[in-house]
Amino acid sequence: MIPRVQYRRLLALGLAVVLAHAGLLGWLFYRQVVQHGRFAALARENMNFKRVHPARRGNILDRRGVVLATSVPVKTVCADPALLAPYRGLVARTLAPLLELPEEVLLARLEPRLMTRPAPGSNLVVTSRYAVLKHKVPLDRWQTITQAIGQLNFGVDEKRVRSSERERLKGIRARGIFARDDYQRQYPNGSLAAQVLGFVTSGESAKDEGPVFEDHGVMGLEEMFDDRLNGTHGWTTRFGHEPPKPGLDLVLTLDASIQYIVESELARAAEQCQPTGAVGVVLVPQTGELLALASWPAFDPARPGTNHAAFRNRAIMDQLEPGSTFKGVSLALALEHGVLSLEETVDCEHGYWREARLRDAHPYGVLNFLQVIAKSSNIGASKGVRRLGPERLYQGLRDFGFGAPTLIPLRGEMPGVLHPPRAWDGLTITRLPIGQSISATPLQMALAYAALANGGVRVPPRLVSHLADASGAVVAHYPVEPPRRVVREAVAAEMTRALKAVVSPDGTGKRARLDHYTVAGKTGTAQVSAGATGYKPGKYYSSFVGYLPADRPEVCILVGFLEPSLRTGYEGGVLAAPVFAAIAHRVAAYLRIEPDLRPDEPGPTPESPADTLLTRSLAWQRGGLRPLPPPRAKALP
Amino acid sequence: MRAASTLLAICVLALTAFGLVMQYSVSPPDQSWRFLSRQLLGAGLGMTLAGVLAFGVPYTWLERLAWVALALAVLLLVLVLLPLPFCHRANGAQRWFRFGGVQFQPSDLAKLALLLALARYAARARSAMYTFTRGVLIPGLIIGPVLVLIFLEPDWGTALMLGGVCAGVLLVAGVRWRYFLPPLVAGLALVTALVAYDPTRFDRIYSWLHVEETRQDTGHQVWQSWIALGAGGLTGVGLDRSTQKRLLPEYHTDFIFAIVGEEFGYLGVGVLILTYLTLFGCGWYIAWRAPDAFGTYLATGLTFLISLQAVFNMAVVSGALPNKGLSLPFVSYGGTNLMILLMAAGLLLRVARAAVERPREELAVLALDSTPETRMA
Repeated sequence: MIPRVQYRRLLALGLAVVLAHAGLLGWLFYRQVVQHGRFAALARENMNFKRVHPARRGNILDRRGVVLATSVPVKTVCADPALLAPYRGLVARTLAPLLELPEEVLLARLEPRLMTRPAPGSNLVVTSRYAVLKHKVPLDRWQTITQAIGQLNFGVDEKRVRSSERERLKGIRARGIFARDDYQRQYPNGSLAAQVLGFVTSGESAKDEGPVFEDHGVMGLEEMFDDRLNGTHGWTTRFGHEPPKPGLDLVLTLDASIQYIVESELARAAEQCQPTGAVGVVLVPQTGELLALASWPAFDPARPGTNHAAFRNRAIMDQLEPGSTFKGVSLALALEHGVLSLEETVDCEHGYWREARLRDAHPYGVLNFLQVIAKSSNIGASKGVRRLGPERLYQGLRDFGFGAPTLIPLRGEMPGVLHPPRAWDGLTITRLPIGQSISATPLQMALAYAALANGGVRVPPRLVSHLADASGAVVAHYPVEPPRRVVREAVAAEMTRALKAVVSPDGTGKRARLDHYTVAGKTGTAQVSAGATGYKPGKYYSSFVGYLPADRPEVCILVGFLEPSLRTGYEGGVLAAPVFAAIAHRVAAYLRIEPDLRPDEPGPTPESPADTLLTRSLAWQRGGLRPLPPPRAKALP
Repeated sequence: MRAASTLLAICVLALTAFGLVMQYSVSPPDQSWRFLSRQLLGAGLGMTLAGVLAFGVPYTWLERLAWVALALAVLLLVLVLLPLPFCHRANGAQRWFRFGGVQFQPSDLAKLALLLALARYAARARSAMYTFTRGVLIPGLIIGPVLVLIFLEPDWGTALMLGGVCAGVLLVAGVRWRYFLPPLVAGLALVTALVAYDPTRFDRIYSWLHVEETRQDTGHQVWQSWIALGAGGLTGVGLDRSTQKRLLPEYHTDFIFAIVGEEFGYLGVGVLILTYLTLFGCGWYIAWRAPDAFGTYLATGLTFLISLQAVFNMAVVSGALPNKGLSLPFVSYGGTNLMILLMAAGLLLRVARAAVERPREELAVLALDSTPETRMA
């Protein structure tokens, strides 16, 4: 017989395939219909999967785009205690040096815990699969950890162990330790502007998306703009994915370089005179833009510590009797109402004015009011300003902004104390002109002098320029109330002439003199009030406030030292004036302000007269940013 | 025979159409055309080629084409293993050519070529198939290189399945059991040894036996597939309502059967399996009633190729067999694969038409010998 097509075999193979189909139908019936309940529940559980993607907190930038505060990605290192259970000793030993935690702490965190299943309506008890080992682990450290876990040596020959055990070891290496995304706040410039920026704390907060570990500001701008700096968290579920929206960037009017100049000069002087505190303010008189807002002692916002004195933003929180610097303001008001002129003379009673029980530091005879300011005679100033009467004096001081907060966006600003005339006693009208019976913050004083520098128009202060999104586009501006005229332009010019005399060789502020710039300013040495009981003995507030160049001012600077030691010299003219000069010298050089004095050996001349602070302050914004609103002071009648 | 051909065509077209629907269903919501467009292109080209094969090529040409096709297939299989710029590597395997955006798997073509060549050889040598040299050695030399080349890619699933199909064809061609079994046993032993000494494959076997235990690692895919199938229940969750497709790796290619199970339930799966069974029945009938031995062998090979692939894929997806890379014929995503399968269907139709066109050769001899029905007895 010739073998041909083996039809019998064909039939048998066909039957085998039919049987395979039948078997498949039966097997699928078991999988799909018999097991339906169990796997449908598992499928629903798959759907409950939810993951939160934390949003990055926005940066805080200075006016030129220098980063003052930023958030960098870090990891939260977590573990699966149920999976690690038999090897948690080994894992703790491996991770302890990498996480810089004691081994016992890690062991405790790796302890498997029993918990009820989080699914609603279920009381099933399961072992926890999620334990946080450490927050805020840097990315490079996390990389080292993954490598260490991936190469974990369990001390057994893995070729020889049972398959189930090998699966577990593989699982530990792959999923035993895992990480969640997080961000850490960093302050690249250390303690620079710390009291203005504030700091953040991290903690778990319950959001709609679920519990999130996030940063919240607790002080300064970080607190005031917390909700704008914090973005919107994203999430992933089975229904979709919503990427996180990063927070907005906060752009300040501060200039990091000027802030650094002020802080370094304050710190240098503070080392000499050991004050309780020191304060420095630099601002542009025409726009009110704060270029520096410095307080000493400082702290590192990355590690705030517990030194609450260092947290104090003294420019807005310390309300002090300003002392002689106040004479500039009170005499300007007297000039405004024409009750005196600078050339008019007054008897300074040779050091003691019995009627007002007022004393001068140095006894003077008859002086004109220019000299009263230059030599800082309490008696002369008091006699002159008294002619205004309580109502006009009070109203004028209110116009200058005393007794009311300046409303810069920082928490804890003090309004200062300026009582209404009905609360005055007989001596108040003689005390107010020389800066007693009134308290003001350093910022209020700096703004009052800025108004004199600005031709008599007071401009509200600006600290925050705008909010920008990640691409740099402006999202929101922070407008301030409109400027208002407090004295006539001619009065401001007269006061500038008087304040220039303070810095002349005969004045109290001669140490504030600069080689290349005329300076208009005033010294102040005030006793520190002890409340109702009078003054603290031997405690002074020594300050200098002024602006330059005197006849077309570009910056207004205030320097103050609270309770300096007495042996190094505590008077404003001795302590504060040289610091003012040092700051002004460096700031003028940094801003390349055109000199208006020609010293014996000519210094370097700037490139062009248009290259002044004001034009640059508008052009200095980062590329693509809208310039700050132009100064409106000149437009007023 | 006309009824079988018509039913076969209907089954193939129905499965292809269902595949398009599934590709639409598993496409991401915002890009419905992502998978569908290429699948449509593959279906159109494949049906054109199948039409040419079924109605445009003379039956005798098929035999002449066989050796050319095999030579071309072997050449391509060698080429794909070389580190050439258009050879594409993915998941640790080098199986694809890539020209522009189009991928092509030469092992797909090799399947058809090998079955054509084997059928032609067995038909020519049918009077000597009972000898060792003609029945085992020479067919082994034809099949061996192709299977080894596919093994080297590596593509174990395709190689094992193709080996099984070839074994079936040889059995039908009349190889003696005494020559057939030893190489088969030796081959299986070799495969077992390879698996035992390859830890990743061994782990696959382990996870097949312990799916739930290994659901986080090796068994993840099958576990998710079980969840999808189980969530479907009897009637399914409905078209485009699958919730597990984002969790299931390869949900649009090898594991699309799990999504079918979830969306259409056991009833839908049952209809799908019965469709594959009907297709198998038609192919088997064409093989049974083919005009000559070449037609029988070719139809047997092609029918088993399609049906075994379908059965293996469904078994893998439902966890009845260890995980191997096999797609579900006509339904899984893959334009060139669909094209080759449609061409296989075209070849089957060509054999069926030949049976109608001319009487079975040696009919007289056969009639004297016995009718097929009596040969059974």
